[in-house]
Amino acid sequence: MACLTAALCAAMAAVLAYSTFTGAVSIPFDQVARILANKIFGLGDISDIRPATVAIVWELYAPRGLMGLVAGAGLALVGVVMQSMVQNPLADPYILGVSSGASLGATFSILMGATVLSGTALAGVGLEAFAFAGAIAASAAVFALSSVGGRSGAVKLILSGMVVASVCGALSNFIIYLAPSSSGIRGLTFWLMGSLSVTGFASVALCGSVLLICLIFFATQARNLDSMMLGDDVATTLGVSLSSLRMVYMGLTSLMVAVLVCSCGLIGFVGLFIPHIGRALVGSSHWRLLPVSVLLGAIFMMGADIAARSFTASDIPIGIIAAICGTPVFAYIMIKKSYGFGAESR
Amino acid sequence: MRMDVEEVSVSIRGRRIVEAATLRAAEGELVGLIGPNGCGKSTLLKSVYRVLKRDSGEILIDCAPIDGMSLRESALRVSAVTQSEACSFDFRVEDAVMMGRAPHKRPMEMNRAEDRRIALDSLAEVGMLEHRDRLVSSLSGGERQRVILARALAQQTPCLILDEPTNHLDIRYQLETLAIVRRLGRTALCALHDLNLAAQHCDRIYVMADGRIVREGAPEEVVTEEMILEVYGVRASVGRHPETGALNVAYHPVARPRAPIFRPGGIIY
Repeated sequence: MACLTAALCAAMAAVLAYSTFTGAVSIPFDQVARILANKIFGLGDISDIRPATVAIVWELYAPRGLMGLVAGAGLALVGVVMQSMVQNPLADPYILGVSSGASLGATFSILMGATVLSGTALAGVGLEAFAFAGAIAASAAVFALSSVGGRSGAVKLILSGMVVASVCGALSNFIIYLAPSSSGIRGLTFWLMGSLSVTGFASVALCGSVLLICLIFFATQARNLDSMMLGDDVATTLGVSLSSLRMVYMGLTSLMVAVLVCSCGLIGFVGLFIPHIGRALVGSSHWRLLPVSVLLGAIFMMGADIAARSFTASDIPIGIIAAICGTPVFAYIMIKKSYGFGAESR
Repeated sequence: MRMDVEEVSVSIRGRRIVEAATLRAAEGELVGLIGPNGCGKSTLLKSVYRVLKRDSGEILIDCAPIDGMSLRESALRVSAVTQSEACSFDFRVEDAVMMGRAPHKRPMEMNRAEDRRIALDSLAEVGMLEHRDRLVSSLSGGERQRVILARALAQQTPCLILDEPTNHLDIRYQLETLAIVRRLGRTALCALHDLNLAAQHCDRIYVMADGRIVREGAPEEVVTEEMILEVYGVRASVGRHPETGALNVAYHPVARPRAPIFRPGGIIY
C-alpha cells in the first residue's frame, strides 16, 4: 500500500510536470523549467524568452495542468463518497442532481441571459455564476425533497436526485427549444462536454481550496464511510449516525462539484469509474480507497487533458477524451480482475 | 451488564407492532425470544439496538436509559447480529470484521495491531479465520452470517442482541453459534425460530404473539405442548430426550394449511 501510494504520487508529479510543456505549441524543456523557476521562486532571468512563450507556459499550460489535477482528484473523491453515501456502485458525483442544476443555469445564461436579463442588475453576471447558482439550488432541492417525512435513506436520496435532474433537464430543453438563435448552442455544447481550456489561476485557486477542505475532512471519515456502505441499520449498531453525517457529506460534495462544474463544465465518467479502479486495486476499505482514488483521478484527468490538447490543434472537449480513454481501461478491469462491483454480480 | 426493556411499544407507519413488551436479561444471561413470523420479535429487537424509534417505554442498559447515550456510547455496550444484511460493495472478510472496532475509535485513529488481533480472534471464534482474505460476496449465506457474528464479537460489547442468528446455517453451525454465545458469557438477547435450540441453550425464554409478550420463564416452563398449540397453532409432543436429557419438541403433522385468521394487527394469514 505504501509502495502504491508513493508510486502514484511520483506518477502524479511526473504527469503534472509533463503537462506544463506539452500541447499544441511545443516548448523546449529547458525554457519551461526556467520560466517556472522564475515565476514560482523568482530565480534566474527569462527576458531572453519570447513573452508569448512565457504566457503560454504560465497562463495556459501550468493552470491547465493544475486544474486537471484538482478536477480529477475532486471528482474521484466525490465519486467515492457518493457511492458509499447512497450505497450504490452506480453513483457518480452528479447523481444528486448537481450537474443538471448547473446545466440549467448555464443554458439559461448562454441562450437567454442576454435577452431576458438585459437592463436588470443580473445583466453582467457570467455563466459560471449561473451554473454555480443552479448547482447549489439543485442540491438544496434534492436535500429538501429527501428529508421530507423522516430520515433520508439512500434510495430516497437517489430518487430525489432523479426527480430534480428530470425537472432541470426538461427546463433546459425548454430553453433550448425556445432559444432565438442557434449561435449559443455550440458554446453550450462545449461547456456540457467539459473543458479545462478556459481556466486561469483564479478558478484553480478556488477549486483547489475547496478540494483541500474536502480532503482534510474526508481523511477523518474513512471509518464512517466504511460503515455507511453497510446500510443505515448496521451503521447505527456500529455507533454511526448516518442522517446527520449525510447532511455534512452532501453539503461538502455539492460545493466541490458546483465549483468544479462552473470552472470546467461537466466531465463525466471520471467520478464513476476511478473509484471502481481504486477498489479493484486496493479493495473497498476507505483507508486505502480514498487516497488511491484521489491520486488516480488526478493522474487520469491530467493525462486525458494532455491527450485533449495534443491530438489536434483545436481543443477536444475533455469529457470526450476521458470517456474514450477511460472506457477500455474500465472494461478491461471489469473482464479481467476478480472484482465484484456488486455483491451478487458474479 | 444487564439489559431491561420496560413496557416498550413500537409502531411502524402508524401501525402498532409491539405492545408494551417487557424483557429482562440479567448479567451473563442468555435470553431467548420466540414467536411466530410477524409477531414483532425483530421490531422489538430493532428498537433495542436503536434502529427503530419506540412510542413509549424505556430501555435500560446497565440500569442507564439508552436515550441518554450517544449512538457511539450505546454501540460500546450493545452489539447486534442483524438479519440478512445486503451490501452492494465487496469487502474482504477481515475488513468487514474490522468494522466492528468502529465505536472504539476516534475519527482519525488508525486501526492498530491490537484491533487486528481482536478481529482475527473473532474470526477464529466463528471458524472463519482461514477465509479472512476472501471477498464477502464469494461467501455462502451461512458463512456471511458467521462474518456478521464475528463483527459483533469484535465490537467487544458486554451485551449482544441476535436476530435469528442461525438463519441460513446448517445444523452444526446452528449449534456452534449458540455454543459461542453461551461460551462468551455475555448478556444476550436472541430471537430464535427453532424451539429445540431455544430450549437447549437459553436460560430464560420469552414468547411473543401479536406484538405482546405472552409467556416468560425457564425453558421447561415455557416450551410446552399447550404453548405451541396456542401460539403457533401446531400440536406437538414435548418430552426429554432419552440420551441427552434435553428438552425435546416433536411436531405433529399439520393436516392442511392454516385457515386464514384475521389478526388484530391487520395481517391476514
